[in-house]
Amino acid sequence: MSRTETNRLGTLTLRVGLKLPTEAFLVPVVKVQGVCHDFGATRVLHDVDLDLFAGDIVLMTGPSGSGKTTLLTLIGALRSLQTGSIVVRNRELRGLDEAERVELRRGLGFIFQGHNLFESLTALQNVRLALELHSNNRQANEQRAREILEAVGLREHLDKKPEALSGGQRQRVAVARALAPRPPLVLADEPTAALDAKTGSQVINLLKQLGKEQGTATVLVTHDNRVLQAADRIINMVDGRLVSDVAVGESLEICEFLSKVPAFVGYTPGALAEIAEHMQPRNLPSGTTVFHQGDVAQDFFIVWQGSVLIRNDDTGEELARLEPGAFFGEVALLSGQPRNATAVVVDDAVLLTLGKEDFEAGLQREKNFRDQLREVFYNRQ
Amino acid sequence: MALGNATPLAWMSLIHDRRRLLASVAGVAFAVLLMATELGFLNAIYDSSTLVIDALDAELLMISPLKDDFNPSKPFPRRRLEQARGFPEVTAVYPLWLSRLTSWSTHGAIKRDLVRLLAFDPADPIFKLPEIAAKQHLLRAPDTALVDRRIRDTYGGGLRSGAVGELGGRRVKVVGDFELGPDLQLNANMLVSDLTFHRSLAVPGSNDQPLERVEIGVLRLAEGVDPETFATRLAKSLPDDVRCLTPRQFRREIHLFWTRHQPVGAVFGIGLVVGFFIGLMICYQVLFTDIVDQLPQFATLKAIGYSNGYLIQLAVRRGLYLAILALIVGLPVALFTYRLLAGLTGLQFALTPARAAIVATASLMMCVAASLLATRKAIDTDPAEVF
Repeated sequence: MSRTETNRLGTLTLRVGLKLPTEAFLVPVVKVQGVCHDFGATRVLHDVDLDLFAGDIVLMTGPSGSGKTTLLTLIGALRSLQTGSIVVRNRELRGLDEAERVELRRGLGFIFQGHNLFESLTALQNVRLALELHSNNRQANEQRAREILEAVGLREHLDKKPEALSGGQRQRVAVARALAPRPPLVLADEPTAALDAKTGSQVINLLKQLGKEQGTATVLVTHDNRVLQAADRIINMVDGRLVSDVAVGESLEICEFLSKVPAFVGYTPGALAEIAEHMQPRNLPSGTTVFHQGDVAQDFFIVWQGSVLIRNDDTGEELARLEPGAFFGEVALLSGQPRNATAVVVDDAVLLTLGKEDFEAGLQREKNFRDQLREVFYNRQ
Repeated sequence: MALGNATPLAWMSLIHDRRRLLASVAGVAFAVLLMATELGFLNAIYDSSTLVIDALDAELLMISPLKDDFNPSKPFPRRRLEQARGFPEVTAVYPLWLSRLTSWSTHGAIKRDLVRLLAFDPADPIFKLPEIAAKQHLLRAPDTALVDRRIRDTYGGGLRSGAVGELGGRRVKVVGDFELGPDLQLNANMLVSDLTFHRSLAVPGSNDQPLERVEIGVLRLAEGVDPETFATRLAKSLPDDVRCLTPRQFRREIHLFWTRHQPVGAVFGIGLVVGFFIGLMICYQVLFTDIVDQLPQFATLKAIGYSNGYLIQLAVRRGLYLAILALIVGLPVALFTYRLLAGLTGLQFALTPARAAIVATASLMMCVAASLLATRKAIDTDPAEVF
């Protein structure tokens, strides 16, 4: 199971509360596979794989020149694909001619760092311009443009031209322009850079709202830490490679669960996040035996969904009924003893498992961490 | 995308910066004025050189085959007109003599300027201008003349109604005037009777008979006769020292003469083209600067899904709007300039609807072409660069 699939399963679990068809969230809005890209003799993207799902707010981070923008422009059909495959809204981008790419771009929302508004047009007209690509109903376009501008807090500035607006207000007009046609995918480059805390959060809330209501997926290239709160996933790129892809919500929850495991108490968030990254989900139907009493311990478990019964086979006594957030299996791993009870799934469950090697590596890492701290303290003397 | 409901981006962009708009319109209006003036000069040559033909009440003209303009220099034998009169299709023939008046002496001063001397039998209804028809009986008195009121004013008022001067050694009195106008070569027209013409130009003691050699034959045809068909037949029946053509054909030949055989026609023709290209460059520079200033915006348009076709359409609209604004300013200025030039030169400067349409079409083409050229920059913009 790939890392992306891992995240997807977790994301799906967290989204049970949303009133959207689950299938809509299972089909990726964007599927990137084996994408490489060269500028002349320089390779800027190396074999990138990535799935973006409806409703996701994905933060793309990485140092300058890491390939974030190139990947964004490839997903946005702003460049021709050289190697690999990108499917956007079920449309393969490879081999599309210019006209087809233009057509595809109409279905996307773009937010640029430079607002690039027409100085000759009012805020309303700038937004209307984007809507006119989709409909010639002037009244409807006008109404939608007003609606979205009001949503980004520009009710009082509809008829002002960019020169009469502040930098933040202009950026919000640009955001409104991108979001007005209700695109299923928004590609944004530093959309909150010019905004203060309040308006920045207005914009992010709007993106979240679109994600919830319409399943709009958003990819943000940003260095704005304030946006972290809203991110569902954080993708990190270095030297044209996707080095990390973390489902933030799930990871946070897993880390919280891990922090309660006695073996990991006191671990730093970084150490917990690294352990969480190695956990794999396992879908188990009701009645499945997770392990038998006397088995050699191979895994550590966290109940993510459903419930698990722990039973002593010798006495037939039910030792515990574990609900989401509970963990089990670490004692045998730490002691090296066989399992002292049997674990059986009673409600269809999703268990997050950590293999023995990864569990021990986690312990070792902490050891290293403590050793490092000791060295720090030692060096202070 | 219905254009009627679309945001008027082309227009809004054009009028956004008023100062730039003013400079743009002024620049293109200057080009409009330049083209209109060049066209005015070109047409002034044409119109002025055919004024007399337009004034003749003729269905066919008989001229020498050597004649290619309206200068009085290529006469033909008068008997050819008599031969033409023998055809049943011909109802009347009238001879018209032409000469140059190279001097007109008043009060002892001799003017060397050029005047076209037109001579005819005052009994012949040869002109269709009512003013001449009404006054030509005055020429029955010997040694009288009618002069052109629109004389290019180099005579210090010495050639006007009531003036007396010497023409070929004879005292001639100006008994009236009419309005026709000079052309590029001659400063005025003077009408005299055939008798006065003969007396003034015949060299005493010589056998030269000026009236035996005619410059223009004016023919009237019976009703229903097609002038062009008959002209061909008539020419074939007569010796090859004459040819027959309709006034329209002769006018066209004179235009061709000025266009192809005279540098002055080519000069103004080229001037017109140069005016077009100067306008093109002004317009291009104005629009190019504007487009470069808005390059990120155009790249954004491309990025969000507007096609190059839309950018081209924007360019065409913008060019058209600029041309229309420039025409609104430029054409009235051109009209004023025409009047000024007509007053200064005495030539015919007429901004007819057809000529205004030529200037308008050239201006529209110029602005649209410049706009399309300038838009190449926006079309070539890589939308990926906006990220």
